[in-house]
Amino acid sequence: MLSIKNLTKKFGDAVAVENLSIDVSPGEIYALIGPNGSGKTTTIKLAAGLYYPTAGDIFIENASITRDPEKAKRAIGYIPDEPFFYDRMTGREFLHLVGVLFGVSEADRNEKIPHLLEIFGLSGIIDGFVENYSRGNKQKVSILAAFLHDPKLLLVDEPIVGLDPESAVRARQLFSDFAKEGGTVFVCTHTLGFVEDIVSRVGMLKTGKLIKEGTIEELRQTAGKPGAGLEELYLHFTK
Amino acid sequence: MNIIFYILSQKLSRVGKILRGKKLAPKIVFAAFVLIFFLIGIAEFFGFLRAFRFLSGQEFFGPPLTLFVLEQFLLFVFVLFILSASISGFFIYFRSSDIPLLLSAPVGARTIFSLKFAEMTAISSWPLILLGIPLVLAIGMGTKAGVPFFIFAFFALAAFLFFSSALASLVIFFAGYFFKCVPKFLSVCASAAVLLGGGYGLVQVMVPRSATLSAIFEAANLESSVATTVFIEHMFFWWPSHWVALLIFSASFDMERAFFILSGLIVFAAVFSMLAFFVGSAAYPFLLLILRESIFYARGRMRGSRDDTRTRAGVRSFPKIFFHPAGAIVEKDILLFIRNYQELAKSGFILFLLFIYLAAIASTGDRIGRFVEAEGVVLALHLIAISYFVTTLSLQFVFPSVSLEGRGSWIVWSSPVNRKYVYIAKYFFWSALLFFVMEASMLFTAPFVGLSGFAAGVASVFLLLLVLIIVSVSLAFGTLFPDFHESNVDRLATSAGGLMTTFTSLALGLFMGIMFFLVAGGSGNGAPWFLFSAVTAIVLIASSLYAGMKRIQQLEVV
Repeated sequence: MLSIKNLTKKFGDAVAVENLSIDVSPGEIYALIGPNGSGKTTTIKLAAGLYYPTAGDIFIENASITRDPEKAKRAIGYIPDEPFFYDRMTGREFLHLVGVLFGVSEADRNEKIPHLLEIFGLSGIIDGFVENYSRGNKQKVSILAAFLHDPKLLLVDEPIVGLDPESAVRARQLFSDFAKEGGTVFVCTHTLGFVEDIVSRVGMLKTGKLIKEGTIEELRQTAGKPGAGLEELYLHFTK
Repeated sequence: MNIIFYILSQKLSRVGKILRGKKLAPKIVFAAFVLIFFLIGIAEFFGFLRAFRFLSGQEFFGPPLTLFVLEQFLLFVFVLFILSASISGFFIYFRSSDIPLLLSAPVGARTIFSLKFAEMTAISSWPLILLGIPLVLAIGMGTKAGVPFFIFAFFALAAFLFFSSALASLVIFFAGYFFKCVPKFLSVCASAAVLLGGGYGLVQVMVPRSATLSAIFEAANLESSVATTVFIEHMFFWWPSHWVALLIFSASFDMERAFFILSGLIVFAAVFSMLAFFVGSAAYPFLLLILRESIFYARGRMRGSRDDTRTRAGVRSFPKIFFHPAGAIVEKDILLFIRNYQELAKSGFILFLLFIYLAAIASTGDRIGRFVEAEGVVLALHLIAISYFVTTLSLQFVFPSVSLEGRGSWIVWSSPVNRKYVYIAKYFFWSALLFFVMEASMLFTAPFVGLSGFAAGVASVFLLLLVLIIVSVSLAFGTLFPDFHESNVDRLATSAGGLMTTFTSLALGLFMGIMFFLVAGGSGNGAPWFLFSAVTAIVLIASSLYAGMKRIQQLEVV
C-alpha cells in the first residue's frame, strides 16, 4: 500500500530525511516515532505530496507521488499535526470542500457528513466559523475530513494533540477499526501510549535515518528487554 | 503616555531592524518604496510649482485660480484621508492583533484609544504627505513666500491632520455602533449609498462647471485690478479643508489675515479633537468589547442539526456556483474574501476611486463638450488609467491568491486535484471578472465623451488583452514568490514580488496605451501595430502562464 523507497529530503544544506525505506501493507498500523526534528513530519508531508523529495520516491497503491500525484493522492486521507484551516469557512463548508476535492458526489457527502459528525458530537458547532473552534475541535474536523472519501491510506501526524481523553479514545478506535477493515495507517507521534496497543509495527527515526524497525515484540527481543513498554524501548534505542 | 511612546517606538523600530538586518530583499523593498514616494512627491512638486509660477504672473485671474487649485486639491486630500482613516482606523481600533495583549495588561482604555488614534493618524497621513506637502511647498516657492509662510503652513497642516483624525474617529465609532445595531445587508447598502453619494458630490465640486468658470473669469468689478476670490470661497465654504486652503492662500500675501485664520483653525481643531477624545475614549471600552465579538455562526444563527448541503429553500451550502474541484477552490476564495471585512473595505475604497475617476470623466465630457476630435488620445489615456485600476485590483486579489492558501494549503495540495487546473481556474475567473468590471466602466463613460463605435470596439479589444496580460503576470509573480506565512494582503502586495508585479503591470499598461494610440489615434495604417500588440500580448500571457504553472507544481508549504 505505502512504499517509501530510498527517500531523501534536504532543505538547503540541512538533511531532514536520509535514504529512508519503509513498506506498509494493507491492514497495518505503522507508527513512526522519534525525537523532535528527527524527520517524522517531513516524511508524512512527503507522502502527502506537500514536499517534493530530493531523492527517492514514495508509492501509494503503486502510484508514484512525484510522477502520478493525482492517482496516489486519491487513496490518501491526511491528518496534519497543526490543523490550519480557512478561518472564515464553517466546518460544514470545509467538509464539503474536501469532499469536492476528492471527487465525492453531493449525494454521498450529504449522507456521510451527518454520520461523521456523530463520531465526535460536532453537530452543534459545525455551522460556526472554524476560526472560533478550539484546537481540539479543529483536530476533530481534520480527522473527519480524512475519512470523508473512504481513503485506503491514512497519513496521521500527531493525532491526539488537543483532543480531550474521550475523543482521543474514539480517535484510536477509529484508526484501529479502519485498519481492521483493510485500511493502512501511517502515524507519527510522540504520544507513545496512544499507539502502543494498536500498532502493528514501529519505526524509530533519528536525525532523518531509520535506526530500528519491527513489531513491539521484535524490538523487545532486540533490546533484550522482555515486557518493556514502547516508551522504554524508545528511550533505549534513541539514547 | 510612556506606554504609548514605547509601543509606537517598538512598531517604528521594525524599519530599523530591516535596515540593520542581513537580508537584502527587505532593504531593496524599503528603498524602492522610499524612492517611489520621493519621485511621486518631486514630480507633483514641480508640476504644482510650474502652475503656481504661471498663475502668480497672471495679475487679474491669478489669485482666484490659485485659490481654486488649492481648494480642489486640499479637498481631495481631506476626502482621501477621511476614507482611508475610516477604513484602516476601524480595524486599528477594534481588530488589531495587539488588542488582546493591551486589554489583558493594566493599561487604561484612554491609553489604548490614544495609541490607536496615533497609529491611525500615522497610517492614514499618506494623502497629506504625497499630495498636500508638495502642493504647499510649491505655492510657497512659486509665490516666493518667506519663512513665516512655511511656519504658518506647518501649523495649518498639523491642525488639519488632528481635526481630520478626530473626525474620522467619530465616524468610525458611529459606524461601528450603527453596524452592530442594524442588519448587515442594510449596513453595506448604507455604506455604499454614502460612498456613491459622497463621491458624486465630490466630483460635482471638483470638476469645474461653466458657472464656476464664469465665477473665476467674469470680473465682478472692472475697477479692481485683481479678480475677486469670494465666489471660490463660497463654493468651498462648508468643507473643512476650505479654512486650510484659505490660510495657505492668505499666508502667501496677507500675513495678518493668515494669522487670524490660523488662530481660529488651531482653536477649532483643538476643541474638536478634545471632544472626539472624550467621546471616543468614553465609548471605546464598550464598543471595543462588542465589536471584537466574532460572528460565530456563518449566517448569524445556529442551524442546529441541518445535515445536508441544501437548506429547506433548496439553496446549496457549498459549493454553490462551481462544481469542478478547481472551481470549488475559486469559490472558496470568493467566500473567504466576502467574509473578510477588512479586504472588502479596502476593495470598496479602490472601487470608490474608480467611481470618482469615471464620474469625473463623465462630468468633464458632459460639461466641456465631447472629445471626438481627440478620441485616440483620450481613449489611450483612459486605457492607461484603467490599467492602473486593473493593477491595483490584481494586487489585491490575483497576486496574493496563491500565498493566501497559506498554511491551510495542505487541504488543496494533498488532494488529487492537479495544481495546474487550480492555477488555470484562478486565472480565468479573475480575468473574466476584471474584464467585465473594466469594460462596464469604459462603456459607462463612452456616451459622455461621444466615442465612435469603432474606437470603443478597438478599445475593448485592447482592454481584454490588457486584463489578460496583467492577471497572468500578477498570478505568475504571486506563484513564483509566495509567502504562505503571511495573511495580510497589503504586506504581500508590498513584498518584492508585489513590487515587481506593480512595476511590470504599470509598464505593460503604458505600453498597451501607446499601442492603442498608434492603432486608433494615429493617422497612418494601424493594422501592423495591432498585430504587434496582439503578438506581444500572446507571448507575455503564454510565458507567464507557463512559468506560473511550472512553479505551482513544485510549491512546498514549509
